[in-house]
Amino acid sequence: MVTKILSAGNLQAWLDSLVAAYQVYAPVEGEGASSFKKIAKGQMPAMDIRTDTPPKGLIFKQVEKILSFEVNPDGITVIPGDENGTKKIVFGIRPCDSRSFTLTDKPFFDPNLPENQYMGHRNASALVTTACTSACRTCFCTSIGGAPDEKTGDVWMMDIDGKYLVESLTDKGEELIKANEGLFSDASADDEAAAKRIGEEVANSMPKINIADAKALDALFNDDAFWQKLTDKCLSCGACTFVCPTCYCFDVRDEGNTRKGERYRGWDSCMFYQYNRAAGGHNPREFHWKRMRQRMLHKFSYFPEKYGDIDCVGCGRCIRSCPVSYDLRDFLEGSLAVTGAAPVGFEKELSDVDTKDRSCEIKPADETVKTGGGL
Amino acid sequence: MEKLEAELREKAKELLEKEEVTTVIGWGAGWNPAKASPLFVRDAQDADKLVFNPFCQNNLAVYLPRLNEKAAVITKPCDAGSVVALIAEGKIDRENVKVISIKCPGTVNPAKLEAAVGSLDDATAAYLDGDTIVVEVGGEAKRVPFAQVALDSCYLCNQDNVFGDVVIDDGVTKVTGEAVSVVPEDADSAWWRDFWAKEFDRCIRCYACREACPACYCRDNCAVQALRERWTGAKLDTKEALMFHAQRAMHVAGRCTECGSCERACPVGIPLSLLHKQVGDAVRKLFDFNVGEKADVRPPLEVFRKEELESGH
Repeated sequence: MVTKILSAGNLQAWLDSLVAAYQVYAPVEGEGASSFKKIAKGQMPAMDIRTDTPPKGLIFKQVEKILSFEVNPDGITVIPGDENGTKKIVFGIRPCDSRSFTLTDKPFFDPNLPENQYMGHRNASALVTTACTSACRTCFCTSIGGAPDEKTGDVWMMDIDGKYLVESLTDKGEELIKANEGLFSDASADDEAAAKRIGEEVANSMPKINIADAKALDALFNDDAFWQKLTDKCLSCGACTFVCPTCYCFDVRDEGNTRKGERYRGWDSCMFYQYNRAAGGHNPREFHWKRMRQRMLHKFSYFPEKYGDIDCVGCGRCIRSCPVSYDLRDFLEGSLAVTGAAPVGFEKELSDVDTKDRSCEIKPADETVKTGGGL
Repeated sequence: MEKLEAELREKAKELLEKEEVTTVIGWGAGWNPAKASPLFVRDAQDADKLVFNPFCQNNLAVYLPRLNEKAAVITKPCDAGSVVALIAEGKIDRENVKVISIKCPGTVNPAKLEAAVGSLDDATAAYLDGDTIVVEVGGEAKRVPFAQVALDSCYLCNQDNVFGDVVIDDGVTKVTGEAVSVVPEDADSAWWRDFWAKEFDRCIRCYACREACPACYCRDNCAVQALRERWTGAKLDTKEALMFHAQRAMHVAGRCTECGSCERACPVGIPLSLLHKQVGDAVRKLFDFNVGEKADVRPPLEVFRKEELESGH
């Protein structure tokens, strides 16, 4: 692996060379929200922003056609979904977002249940990570095992006083540097020391929050009062899950008819009532607080129990985007000091809310006919 | 403002101590000083955590239809309109709700404030100082006239006759100013089509707009997510997003108070208020009806009057 220096003036030239060979996605300011967008030759990405929406959708698409099908006289023809081998580079991704893919890989690269579509996009992508030289008030990566200068992705780079220290972390990453060797110069020990110092400074500027371990959190499962109190102001929308780089729940929907149609896989949110509704209308998580419990325990208890890591990267987007300014850190800290108080107020049962889902309503018979027994 | 806050806390404490309600829904401090956060106060001793300032943006009426207890809700005049509308629609048991109404100075539009002073994410303090909003970032105090950064709806707000069981009037001066509209006067259907195509292109369908809306009480049974009768398709594109938002706008027509809660909830900054104003204008014109004014009049699209047919509508 190689460690090099890229002058700020050569950044555009490197990007242009990458744009000529790959689809390059990078942080771009936009009206209303910043996000990762495909960049063109000569376009300088917004290297200093943390995007409002995560780069998740570049690899785990928000909606993706998995297959299309058609019934014909010989049987059923199944055509695979969208092409997924396009080589792309996600440039200027922050260490937290870069780390998020290593987490989502765990369930989707599971050999027992591989998610081919995700794997295709992932294998065809290279991540060029830009280390953080400052932290936001909502950042807490150091509390969940990450770091503002964590070396993750295929290439890692950091702005050290107007020039970039660039290091390849994988063969794929090394290729991106080697193909443009003329743009880079050799890095000195001083450069590496400077990067280390900046990383430590940023990490030290971030408050550390303590997080209960997976087992301790799971023990809170039956503490209804804790979850109710935690959730009372939650609106149960999906903003937090959709801006979350690690939330990976999805739904599969067919469109068309029984002769011909398409199958789509799209992001879903455990905060939605419909996500939890079972056939027949029963919903095991009928209240907001049960859905919040699922979201929290999945990230901080079930996932670490199964895969060894917390399924959160501390990017803080859920805190920034929440319409009611719910702060995930309140949960993490609050769970350490559970009091075991009596249950507080409840939401109404769904049946009490005067808005029946007409599509699923089963009406009682207008009249009961008595058969007189005998059956 | 401090006096107003003190009165608010006192009232909340009294209601909880006398057990008239089991919870008081108000605003508390958020993680960011420029973002107050809804607060459910259940113990009288927690009443001191209640705050009131121009950053109290959430319309707390949204919680009322789903509550199963006696609650007091703190409202700004615009939110009080939502409570009236919910009563008119029969979605609130009037005897279970106490309304503490505040005559407020107005509310900050975060998008306007960010345009004026930059990102609020790293603000260490934010407050109203006379007629100026002050935001402190990195030791620097950025000042901007409140009149420049308030919600457009605040300029039109009439606080003469505010609904509430308790009305707290601290004699604060209401913000005045000019509404900023991005809509040109000669906007035709082509302009609107292009405008919404651009805006809805970034909709992530998280439904935060819907969940933050007091009129969207269908919550879990929203037609958009119904299992059968699928009105919106699986694909994520501008057309499907438009279908959702247009459908929502029509469903809340005649019930929407144009409080702007939907717009402020949007994580990608879609100016939904414009859509709801357009529908609201149509309702006012067609039915001569103002949402949130009368608790004993059903919304116009919920009833059929013979004269509507005869007058050619």
